[in-house]
Amino acid sequence: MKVKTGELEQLLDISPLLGSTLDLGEVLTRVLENAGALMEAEASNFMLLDAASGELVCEAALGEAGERIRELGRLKVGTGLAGWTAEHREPLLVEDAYKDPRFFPDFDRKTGFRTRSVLAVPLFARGELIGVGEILNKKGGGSFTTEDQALFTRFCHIAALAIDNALLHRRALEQERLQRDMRLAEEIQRASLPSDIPSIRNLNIECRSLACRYVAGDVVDITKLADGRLAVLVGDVSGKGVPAALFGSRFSVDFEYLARADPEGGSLMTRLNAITARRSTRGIFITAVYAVIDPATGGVELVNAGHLPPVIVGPDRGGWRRAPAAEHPPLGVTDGLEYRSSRLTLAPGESIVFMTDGVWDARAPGGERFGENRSREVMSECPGLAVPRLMKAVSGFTAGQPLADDITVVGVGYGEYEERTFPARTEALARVRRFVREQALAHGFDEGGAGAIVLAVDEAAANVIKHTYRMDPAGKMRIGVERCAGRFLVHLRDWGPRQDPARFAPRDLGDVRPGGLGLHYMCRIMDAVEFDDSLWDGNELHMLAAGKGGRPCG
Amino acid sequence: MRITSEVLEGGRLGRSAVISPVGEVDMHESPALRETLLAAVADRPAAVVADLAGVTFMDSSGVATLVEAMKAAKAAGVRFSLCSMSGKVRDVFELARLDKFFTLAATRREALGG
Repeated sequence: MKVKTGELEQLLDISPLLGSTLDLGEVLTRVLENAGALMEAEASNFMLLDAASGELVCEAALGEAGERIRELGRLKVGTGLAGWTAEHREPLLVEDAYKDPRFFPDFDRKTGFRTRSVLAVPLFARGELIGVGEILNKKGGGSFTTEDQALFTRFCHIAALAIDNALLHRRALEQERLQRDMRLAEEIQRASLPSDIPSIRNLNIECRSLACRYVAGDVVDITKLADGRLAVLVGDVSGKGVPAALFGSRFSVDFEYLARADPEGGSLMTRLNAITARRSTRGIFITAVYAVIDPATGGVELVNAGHLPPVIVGPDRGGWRRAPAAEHPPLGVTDGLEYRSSRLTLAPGESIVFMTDGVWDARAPGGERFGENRSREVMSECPGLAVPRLMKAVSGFTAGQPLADDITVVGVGYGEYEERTFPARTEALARVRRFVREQALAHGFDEGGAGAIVLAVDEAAANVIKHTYRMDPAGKMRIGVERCAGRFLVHLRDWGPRQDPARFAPRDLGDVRPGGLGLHYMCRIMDAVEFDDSLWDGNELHMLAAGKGGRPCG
Repeated sequence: MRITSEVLEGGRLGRSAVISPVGEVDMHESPALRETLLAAVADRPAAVVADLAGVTFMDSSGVATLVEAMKAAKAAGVRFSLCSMSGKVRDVFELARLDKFFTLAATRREALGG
């Protein structure tokens, strides 16, 4: 079967015309128009394969019955002449449709069109069937010929490429739109995370969260109760992604509502379980741990609903234990359960750390799990920096690999802790120094030691004002000072743009020039200076001075 | 911070400017000190002395200001020295190993040539 030179020229003309747009509707319209004209057919019809349903879907049809054919829509593979072509993946030339038992006359009955001859050709792209092209009734009577079949087959090769490109483009656009929606969802979820953590004397509260796929199914709530105690909830919705995030959002609302009425652990979790069980569909549930912490005594009331037990770290290096608490089933599994709280007391210098199992499940590029032992080693290495060091270790361990699960970590350190928030302005530096000096002297440093620490913190705060906020007077920074036996820890938090940790390298002192000395002072004076980029909004710098018999943390 | 500027004539070094900041020299205050020191250097006296006796705190922005003034003075052929540093301020220079780059005098008299 050969194609004539004139027809070849027509095909060559058609090829760029079909490929010049990526809009599927436009491509199909051009395909149909050109098929009809080239093949002198009364009607043409291109059906695309819907892989999910195994049906041919009529995306476009032209000719006197085109509109009605399109409305009829779908045809099962194997049904009718086009369905046969799709099933057998070979062209089909039928001179008189009504004499062919494979013909499916339903279309004619519904459209009023009278089919005589049919030429159907499978459409292939990248080795896969993507649909069927069909032309009906040769104009002027008679049937399509084998020459027509050769020409239409070549035409369909060209058309299939153009259609496939347009389909790929449509999928890319859909993917892009989905990703945009997911990013928006992530922003909305981040906005609901606790950013401005309550300030409570004697409690150093740190919170970190990472989502494994844009939105997280982890739930976290940190609230200062009316009587001055701290309430912490950390939960993990079963499953991941959007369904888990949606369920978690609803759960957070329920929690806030119920906690406002009565924040006491046992009764709160009992009521929360009842409402979660009613809302749960498809077996979704939440593991959660809820704690109320008294800053005056270090007393903790803890309820554990099937969650990873919190751990208690410090105050000495190597100190680590699981917080003892009665374990109850996860929330939402079944109604009518009663939850009870357990009590424990934190010693000064100890921290209680709540986390979701995403920490243990984080995986290295080789597939190894981060695991409990590694968590314990990292957190007990330097108790005052347990949370930031854990996040840094997880981040280094996964080396940019996508997370296997969402990660939430909340640490609450109990002991001598005070914090102040200052405007990020140079005129506030004198107040920053006064606050830090008072704290250093109260810790037991002599004037010289306190003066050196004041210099280091002044430099760090000046860097935040100048480099992070770029002198924007609207910025703010919070300085928290933690004092316990053997360590004096300063945490400098800002809410400015994320900074690159690589920028934090001391300068070469052989180069005598103005500027760049601040970090050098910090590193010379303090025993450890650690930049923390694990927050979802802003940055934190941790500076540790060993004192009063303490040991520096390497 | 308060800054006083004096111009002394007839000393052994000739016409000299003495700049005396009093108080804390941090990022908020150092621009004023910078302006005063650079103006003193631009006036081309024989010597500029920064008398730091009244400085109770200095951070790297203050040190950077003095480094800049020293470099400007060197370029202008003006003798530049620091005097009367408290131990606390001297520590700041020593931590950055900058003490050896400056002419340091124990007293203002010494800085002005005795």
